[in-house]
Amino acid sequence: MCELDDLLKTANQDIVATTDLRELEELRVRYLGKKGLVTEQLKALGKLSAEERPAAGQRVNQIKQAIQSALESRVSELEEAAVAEKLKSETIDVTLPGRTSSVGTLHPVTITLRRIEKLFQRHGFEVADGPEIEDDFHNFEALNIPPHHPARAMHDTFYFDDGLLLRTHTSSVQIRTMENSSPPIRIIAPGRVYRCDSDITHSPMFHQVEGLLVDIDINFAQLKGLVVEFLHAFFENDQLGIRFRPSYFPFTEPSAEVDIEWHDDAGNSNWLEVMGCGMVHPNVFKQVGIDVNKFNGFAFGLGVERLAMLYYGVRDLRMFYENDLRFLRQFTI
Amino acid sequence: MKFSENWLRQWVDPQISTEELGQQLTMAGLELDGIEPAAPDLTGVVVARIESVSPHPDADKLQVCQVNLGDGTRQIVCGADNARTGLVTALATERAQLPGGLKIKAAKLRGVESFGMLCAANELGLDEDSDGIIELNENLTIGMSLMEALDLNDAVLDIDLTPNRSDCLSIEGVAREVAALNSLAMNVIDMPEIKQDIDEQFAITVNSQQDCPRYCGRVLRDVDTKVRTPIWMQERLRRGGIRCINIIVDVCNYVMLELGQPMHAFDLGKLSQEITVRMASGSEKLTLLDGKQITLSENSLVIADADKALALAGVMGGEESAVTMETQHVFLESAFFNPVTIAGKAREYGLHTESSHRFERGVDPNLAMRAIQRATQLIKQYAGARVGPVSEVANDNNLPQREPITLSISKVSNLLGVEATSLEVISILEDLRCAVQQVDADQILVTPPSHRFDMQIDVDLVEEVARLKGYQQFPTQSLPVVATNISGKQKSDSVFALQEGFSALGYNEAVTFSFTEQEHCHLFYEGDVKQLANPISTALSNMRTSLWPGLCEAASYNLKRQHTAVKLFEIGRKYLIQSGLLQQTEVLAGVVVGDVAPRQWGLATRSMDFYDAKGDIEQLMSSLGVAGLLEFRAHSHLGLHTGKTAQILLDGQPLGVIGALHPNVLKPLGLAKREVLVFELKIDGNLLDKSPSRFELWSKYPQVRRDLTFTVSAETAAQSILDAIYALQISELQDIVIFSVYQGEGVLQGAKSVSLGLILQDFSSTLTEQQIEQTMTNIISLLADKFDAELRST
Repeated sequence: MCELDDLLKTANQDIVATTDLRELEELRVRYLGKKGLVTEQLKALGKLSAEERPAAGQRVNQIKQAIQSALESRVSELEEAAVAEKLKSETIDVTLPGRTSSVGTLHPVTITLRRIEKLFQRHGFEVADGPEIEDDFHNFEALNIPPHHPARAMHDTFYFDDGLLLRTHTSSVQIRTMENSSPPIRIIAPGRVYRCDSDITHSPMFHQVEGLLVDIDINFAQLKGLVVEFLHAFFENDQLGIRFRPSYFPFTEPSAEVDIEWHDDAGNSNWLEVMGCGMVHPNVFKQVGIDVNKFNGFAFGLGVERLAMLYYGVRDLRMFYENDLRFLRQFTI
Repeated sequence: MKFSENWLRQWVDPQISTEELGQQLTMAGLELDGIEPAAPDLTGVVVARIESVSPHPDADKLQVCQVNLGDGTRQIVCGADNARTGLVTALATERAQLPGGLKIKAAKLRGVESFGMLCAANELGLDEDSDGIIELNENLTIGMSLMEALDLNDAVLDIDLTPNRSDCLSIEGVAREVAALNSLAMNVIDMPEIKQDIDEQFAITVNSQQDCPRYCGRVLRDVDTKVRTPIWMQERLRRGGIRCINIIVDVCNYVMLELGQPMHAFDLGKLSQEITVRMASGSEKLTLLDGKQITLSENSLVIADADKALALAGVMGGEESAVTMETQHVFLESAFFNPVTIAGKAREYGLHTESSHRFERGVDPNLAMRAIQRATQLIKQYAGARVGPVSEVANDNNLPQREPITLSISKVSNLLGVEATSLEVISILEDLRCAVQQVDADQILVTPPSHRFDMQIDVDLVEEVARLKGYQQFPTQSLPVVATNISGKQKSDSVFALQEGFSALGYNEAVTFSFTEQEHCHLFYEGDVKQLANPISTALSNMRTSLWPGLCEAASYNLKRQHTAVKLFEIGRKYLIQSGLLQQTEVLAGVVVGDVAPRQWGLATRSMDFYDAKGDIEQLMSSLGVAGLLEFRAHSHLGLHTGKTAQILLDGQPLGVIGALHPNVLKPLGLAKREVLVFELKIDGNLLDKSPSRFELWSKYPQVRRDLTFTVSAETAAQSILDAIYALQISELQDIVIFSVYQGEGVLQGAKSVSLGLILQDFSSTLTEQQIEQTMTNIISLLADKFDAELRST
């Protein structure tokens, strides 16, 4: 019996010592194969007496099963180790950057225009459009700015030889809208405008949004209410200081400029002009054939870049037109 | 307009600080631009008199002065030519600090001790340049601080006046406003009457009475033009931003600042026979005070004598008849010119003067006589003169009339949205010097004062009420609710979807100028161009005919700044002249150049080509849900590569163009030799009127894919093969994928190998092998017939 115990002991030692499945298979053949050491023992049982045989057979079978199970468990161990080894070999550096493509962006003027449009759409204002190369009538005359009006000098107009001009404000769209529709009117007109002026705070081309409301019984307090609501929403600050100051536009009377209270980096408070507005001048209504005894209204205008500069903290107006990717990629909705 | 605060306070002196005064003006619509001190801190500078002057022993240009400063004398070495015995001037004593940072201390100058410095006006920060030390009034108290003596504890207020408020272009005008704002009465400024000394008159003829409804003139004989303008007047002019010239011109300018009436003085000795106010006659020339010679246009009003034009009326005088230090006799002019006549004149000649600024906005037509009296008084007081009577040529019919305006109190309330009482309205309008008459409970009749050109109709008066009440006092009200646009669909929403679509594809949105240089206009366009008459520069002189040049320049700008790829798009107008008609067409354009992906580890990169840009457009259309057939057809276009350009069609209608730039246009656009793709899409109904998405059910039977590889002639367009197969109208053919196109080894010269994946699927049953075989046979025979295709594999 001692022989069998040694056999089992040696087999277990051999199995544990294997490092791969091929070695293990060799061991299986050595012990359990047709001519294997355990098989030899089984064959040897025949030489035993009938009395000895059952106990000895049981004993050999136990040894066989023990070796069998040791082999199987070693197979699992080796397989797991092999998988682990494979995974280990596949390890990557998870800190390397992921694959990217370039990110697209919208121009800050577009984002700003979109925000402005949305805020006025709440009150039923629709977006209107007009030509950029305009005639004198729609840009000036109909807006109560006759030839030689001093206000024309303030506009620094670009002219063409045929007398046409580049619109100096989107107020011209007011006139076109009133010519082609009848009150009640609620429109905003965003777009490019042009002034013959260029330095750090002036660009020969910039964007404006003009607004116009024509209806019955419209008053200055409502204009003020709308402007205050808009500026609070635009700057996402209901506490924003806003002041209305008398000013002059030939096409509105009374007219106002709107300042917002702004804090510079040092914390000093300043008033910055952001909008112009007023009640539509009766002469404008007369030009487009709207009955001044029945209707009145208000108009307002704002500079898109100016609002965008304040909102985003951009200092140099010219950056809006340089299209430097380092600039363009900074603005998200 | 700039003015001295102390001067204003002589007229009206509200008990508020300088800052409060500025704030008050701003909130009344006279926007404050800034407040500056009238002078730097001049502590330690005193009024002093030179008691004696002796030459410096060792320096020709220096003198040694004994200077009295009240509590004794100091020895001062001075280099000024005008240092002379008896001169009252400014002495910077030891330890005084001058504006430039110069600290005064005792020093030896070429061996002679000096205990301070006699100062010129520029050294005191009172003038830009000056010759010699400042000459002060002899009556000043010696030893008095200069700040006090010259009233330098003063502020200069700069207000930005809107064109309607010409009435405030004077101290009196601002004072009127401040008085009304504070409900104060204005102080009476003493302007003594001037007695006439002589009877002499100079003949005045006004030919053009509509343009010059009032002309006043007078002769002043024996004027001493060499006399120095008194320091107080110089100081007020300086604080008003006006340079001193000579006593006569200075008085004219002073009266303009004080009362708002621009005036002009002629050298009487240079005038021939008479003054004529007339329109310029053909190609008359005039040399102006600034030395510039102009050729007068025929609608220019001039002041002339019997021989020639002397001055451009209301704008600028002429050099020849100007008052100089040699002038002995003066003809003084004070007139009212029609604003319409003067408007635009200065600009027409490239000028802008204090006079034209006032006349084109409107000067009080009743001011001329008062102003000429005031100027005469000041000239007589400081330069002496034998004064002739005022000759006035006036025509009341041509003078602006201030018609009474009917104002309804309820209209004031309704328009402003705040209750206004008739008492309040009347009080405000009377404070503004309107004559008000009550008509009934609601209506008043208001006659504006002659200086208010801006009060024409009732709403002008409403604004005045609002202004004086203060805009800040008005409540805010909400708008009446309206039914909004029910569909909610706006063109801008669709345009925004396009912008978002391109941004999602990795494009950055650009905004480039609508004008460009002429050469750029013809790179992609052959027609006429809209050219600016007054461009800001030649680089911005023509309206763009394509968005590509601007986008390419932006791409070039970024490529030069180490970006390896640029994908930009812009939405904007281009301006074409087609059949003589101007077209302002809104388009979307893009430029694509560089690496397909940012350079990075783990991804091989390559340059973007035509198919990258084309793929973007196809993807965009798909993501926008644009229904309809999108096609690309080989095309030729100025400035684009002859073999890499396509017209884009949607449902057979032209939608745009895509292509690679022609090598010839790269250089003018600042681009290096490389492949640059551009595209342009029309923004119109086709693209924007998309119908809502409709759900479609898919087949539940299995899909089968069969691949075909065959050779055809290299010129065969892929689209034509697809079109031909689709034309068979095989119902189970769901899609065709072109998965390989190959030319080269193994394929005959002039031929190409094309591999198609045909996706087959039926809606009602699983396709049988037999059906599939039949379909494939049909397709193969079609390809053989139509394209001479040789099958390589199936």
